[in-house]
Amino acid sequence: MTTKTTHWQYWQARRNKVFSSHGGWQVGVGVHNCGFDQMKDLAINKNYFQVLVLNCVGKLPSARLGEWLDSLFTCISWPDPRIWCNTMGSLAGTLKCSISSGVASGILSADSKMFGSGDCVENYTGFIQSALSASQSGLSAQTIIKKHRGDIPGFARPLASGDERVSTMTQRARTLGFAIGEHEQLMLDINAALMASKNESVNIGGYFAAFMSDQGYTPLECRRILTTVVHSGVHACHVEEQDRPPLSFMPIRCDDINYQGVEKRKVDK
Amino acid sequence: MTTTSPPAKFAKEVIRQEQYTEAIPTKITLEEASEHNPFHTETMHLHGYEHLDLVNNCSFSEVIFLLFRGELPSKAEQQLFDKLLTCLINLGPRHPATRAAMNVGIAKTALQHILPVSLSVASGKYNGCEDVFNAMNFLRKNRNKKPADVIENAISQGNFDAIENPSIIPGFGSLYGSADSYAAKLANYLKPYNTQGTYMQFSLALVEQMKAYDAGWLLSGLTAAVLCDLGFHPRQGHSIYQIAIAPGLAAHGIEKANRPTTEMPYVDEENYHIEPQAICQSSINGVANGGANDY
Repeated sequence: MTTKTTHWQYWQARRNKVFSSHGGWQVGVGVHNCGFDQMKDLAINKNYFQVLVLNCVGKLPSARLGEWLDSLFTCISWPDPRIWCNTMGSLAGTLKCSISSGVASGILSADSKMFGSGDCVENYTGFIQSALSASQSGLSAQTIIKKHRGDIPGFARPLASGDERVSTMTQRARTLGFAIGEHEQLMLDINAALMASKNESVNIGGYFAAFMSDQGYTPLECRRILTTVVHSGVHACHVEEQDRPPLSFMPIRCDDINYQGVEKRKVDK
Repeated sequence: MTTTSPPAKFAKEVIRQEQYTEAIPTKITLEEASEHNPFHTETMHLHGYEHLDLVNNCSFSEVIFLLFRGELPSKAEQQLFDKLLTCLINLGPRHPATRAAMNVGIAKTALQHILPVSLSVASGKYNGCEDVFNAMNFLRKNRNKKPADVIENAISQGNFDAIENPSIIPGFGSLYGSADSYAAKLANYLKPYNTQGTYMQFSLALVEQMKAYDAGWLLSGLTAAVLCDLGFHPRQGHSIYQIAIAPGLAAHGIEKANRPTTEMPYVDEENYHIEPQAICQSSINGVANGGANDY
């Protein structure tokens, strides 16, 4: 434990100073990013998702992982305003908010335990990594399911059963030359067991967690990488409503609200 | 293992047979439509009270209390709630959330973003609104235990460190290396307005136990204790804290909105320290890495 003698000296030493292990702009020289030159190395030779991972993790991944993430971001988010995060874009658009407001609201709304890019990503990744440890100590997929309290993180999804994005992304992984790793194999074993017992299968978040675990990423790193994954569909939903007359998106009449509260009363002062 | 494995079977996509409501239920608001337009409100009631009746007879903070709790506060509750909101109203220009607000202002960012941006910065697990939620849950769960046991347990199981991990329990710990003297001052001020508060008494006893570690109240813990005593649920803690701190954030942000960018610090090259492994040596020499660090 840090002793009391440090007191506020730690903060005193950091006044009006910035320390960065990632990089920064050295005016007239260039932009340093984790040992790379942002313009000459990254902007020219790397794809966007490689640089995103570099910024999240501090290490540059392979180009094919960047391509896989490009496909993942493409297949996860689409224009349908009924999906919660996309609804934020539509609601912001219908009130003529800037697209920044709409998209930022959509991204924030996906910081969720249930879907998107929030706690659920860490939960899914944490689950599959600890499940692999359990599997390596001899537990079967069926036993791992039985021993887990509640829903299996990364399996099943709201609104619908199944998840067509998973088969798209597994195919993409194979096309790019990624072999099935230990986490992905365990995910497939759990998937097979759940399919047999409940006709439920892995969702895209659960597949992402298993695949990225095989690439060596931690739960927190996975969450960081996935933060803005919903934004593209939110853009579409915002744009659509911003171009319509105000309040066009799902208008609600007074009698569309089901009041279930107390009877009318007067302030007694 | 490679692509020779048989293709995995996944469930077919089928919409779940769940019954979604067509009319949104709420216990808070009753809006009665005007005769000429079903989308217009003729009268509005909040938890049974006519809106204009509240406008005429209640303060802003009383109606906030009503919205969350469902009942208007008693005089004592109103006084304590009002004092708490005012205690939190200004985090001060050094607080990261206020600095975010001021940066929004100085950067000529659209002014409507001052509050969303700065409130997001104030949302954290350390002394932010998520900490209020965690502290309220912690206090509710532990209030019947002996304070000495709670702190001893937290110290033995946690990894309290004044720099790396400055929370002993949610809402309580150290700030810049020692107990937050201003939070303690506010707690002492609020104490007489909350003499019956069991959570306040319990928290004071916890703080007593933390003195040996030069730790004590954080603003989030103080907020949590008072909100628990006022009967709020932890789920309401985030939002009430955000409402309370919003005025100070907005005021500081707007103050900077028409000021030159030089009115906020910009760290010069001499004080911007890039760790050696982050520097691209070849760019200093005029030649790029070309991906040499790829792995």
